[in-house]
Amino acid sequence: MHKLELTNITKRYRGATVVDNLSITVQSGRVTGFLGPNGAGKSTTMKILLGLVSPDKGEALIGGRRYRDFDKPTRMVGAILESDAFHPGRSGRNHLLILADAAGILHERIEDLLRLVELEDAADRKVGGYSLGMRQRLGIAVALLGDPPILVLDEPGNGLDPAGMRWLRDLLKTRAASGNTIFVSSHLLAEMEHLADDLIVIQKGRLVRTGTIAELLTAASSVSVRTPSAAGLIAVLEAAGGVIKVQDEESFLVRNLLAAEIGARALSAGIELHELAAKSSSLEELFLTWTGSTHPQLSEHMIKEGAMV
Amino acid sequence: MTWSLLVRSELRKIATTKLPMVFLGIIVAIVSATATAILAGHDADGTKGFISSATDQQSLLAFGTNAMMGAGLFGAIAAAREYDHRTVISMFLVSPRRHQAMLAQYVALFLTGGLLGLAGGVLTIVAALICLPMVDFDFLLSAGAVIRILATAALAGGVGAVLGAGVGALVRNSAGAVTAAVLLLIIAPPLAVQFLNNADWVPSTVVNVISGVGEGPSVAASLAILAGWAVVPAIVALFFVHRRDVT
Repeated sequence: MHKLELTNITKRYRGATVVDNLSITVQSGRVTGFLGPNGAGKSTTMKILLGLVSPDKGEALIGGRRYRDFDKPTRMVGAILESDAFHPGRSGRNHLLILADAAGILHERIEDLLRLVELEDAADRKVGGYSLGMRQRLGIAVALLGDPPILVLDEPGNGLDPAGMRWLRDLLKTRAASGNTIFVSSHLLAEMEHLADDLIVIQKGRLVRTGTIAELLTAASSVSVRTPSAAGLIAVLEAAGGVIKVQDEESFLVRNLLAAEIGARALSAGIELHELAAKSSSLEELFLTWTGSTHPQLSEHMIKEGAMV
Repeated sequence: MTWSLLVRSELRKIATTKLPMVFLGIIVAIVSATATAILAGHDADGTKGFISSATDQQSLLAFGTNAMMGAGLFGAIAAAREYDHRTVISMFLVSPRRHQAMLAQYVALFLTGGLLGLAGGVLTIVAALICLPMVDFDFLLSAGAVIRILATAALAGGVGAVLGAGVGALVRNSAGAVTAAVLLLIIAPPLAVQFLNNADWVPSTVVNVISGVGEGPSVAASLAILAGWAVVPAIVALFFVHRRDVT
């Protein structure tokens, strides 16, 4: 089991708190999505986990050990932290060879990886001539170099085309299914909805939400009800555990109860219904609610692109 | 994680960009200038006194100071570009004990700087062997003097590269690192010689002593001072890089 645990992590830069007493756990055998608006502290958190940034307070452990305590860290953790962290004058193959040499990994592994990320034909070209998607694929090859059971990936889907996104999703899901720990941040909320099993949402360095994506989406779904006897039905539904949000005299939203259950209770109480409609929230809507991102232009753009700006 | 693996990786880093070839080109330009001086240069009195004796030839052909300055710039760029291109992230992910990665980089740059210095020394000697007979002068250096010149060029190249690497890791961008290395190796020493009573510690003085073409501290003291020029910035950089966040 290779659990990632960050406990009470705080990091400040020049008086500004970037990560604020953050405690999260990433389970093995699952894909855990890491979400937050720009500047929320996601990258800093990942760098703290990987020993690149020292926290002012708290502890970051990988399978119970600090990253720096691993003798062969690339065999334990693969990471993408920046999509453009390559010398532009060096070929993709040479970049992998350099890291393989340092990590003591056989060069045969590089050919397998180049094939896996579909860069065989471009392997001897300079990285400066690569597209963003190709650099991202090279980054994924770097992360997989030591065939590690843990992947920590910061925006790995940036620049990938739809086929590439699907390939990445399949790769990460397959590795998670075989017991690997996958911790991945992304701005692509629609993609995250398909990819992640668990979600961790932060804003201004603080934990906003955590849980399985199914739980979070279910908890956020609601049923829209319209009835001329709103007060009576609200009393019935509240008694049954429903959480009510009144919209006007005749309509309200109900959470924690399914539409069928609401209909059955209304029938039992002899209350006439004019509307009963299940409303599910998308991850994008939930994200906006959780993070309070109400800027109209930002929201509109996110809805069009299915992604955070 | 073994040292040899990290050093091999660092050597591959150096070998897989154009940087060494660029500096080899600079060396060829310097050697060409020396060859031109032998062929076309003369003293104020119109003679070629500057190549007439073994001592004069040794002074002209000693490549150590050039090697140290050139390799200093080479090391500064090699180390600083890790930060420019953010490859320092993968460097410290593979080797999270940062001092190991940096020491491996110092070793690789010492070897490469030494090779560049040696190449400069050899090419200078070869140019002299070719050009001196063309102006009716013999090559007057003994085998011992040649070996001393070459050994000093290699040593000064290695030291310069480590000095540059320390500066590059401290400054963390190529332009700034080159500026700092130029200040440290090219601009500051002559000023120190001019304005200080005793500036025997400047690189050109100690390198010339080791080459056998200058006066100053003893050879042993010069070797120690030269080593200090590499060790001090290297250790300061190790200290800061160990403590700094990689953001």
